Amino acid sequence: MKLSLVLIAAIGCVPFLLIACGSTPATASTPRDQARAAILTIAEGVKTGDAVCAEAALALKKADLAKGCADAYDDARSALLAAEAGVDAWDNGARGEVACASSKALAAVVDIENLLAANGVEVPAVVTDAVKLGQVFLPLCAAGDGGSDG
Amino acid sequence: MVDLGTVEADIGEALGIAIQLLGIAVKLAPSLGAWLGGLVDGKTDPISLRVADILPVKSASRQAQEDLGG
Repeated sequence: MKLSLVLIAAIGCVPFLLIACGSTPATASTPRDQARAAILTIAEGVKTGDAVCAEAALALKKADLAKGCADAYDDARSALLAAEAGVDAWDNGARGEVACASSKALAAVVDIENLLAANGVEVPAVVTDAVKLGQVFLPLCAAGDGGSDG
Repeated sequence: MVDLGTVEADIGEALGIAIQLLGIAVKLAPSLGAWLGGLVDGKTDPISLRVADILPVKSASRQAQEDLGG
């Protein structure tokens, strides 16, 4: 009977192991990979900031806080989608768009960060990390480049 | 002499484990499907997260704004 338990567990673990192996993040080894990873990290910051802001707005009953965060979220989302499209078309000369679109997303995340801070809400670390990460795009946008070859 | 009580307990334990594993499999089925689909398509990184997967069109803040009547 114990053997059957082991067999059931082993068979049941196969899909889990497949998922675990298949979803192992690849190393971001090229500027393109790094840009995509940065964009997704910023997106995670936006998502977390939005969730915290919504919770705070409801708790404080501040519709203006919710609106401010929602508007910043929309700006960030649009910018990140544009940046992602630039990464997708990296080899077609779209890399220059990545840095500037990401910089726009950064501005929106900073808006969320400021709104949270101004209302006495603790800013999650993932948001501040997203801001720090997003700042790497600023000089690239100013220079009119999305990164070196890769 | 087989102890029927022990056999029943073992069967119950096995069923419990099987149900738990089935639950995990159901939860992971979409990811598994995406991964296998990616392999079929020949993608080197079949599971690729997208911005739209992280950020839905409607934000939680917008929902909160509506809930607050703003």
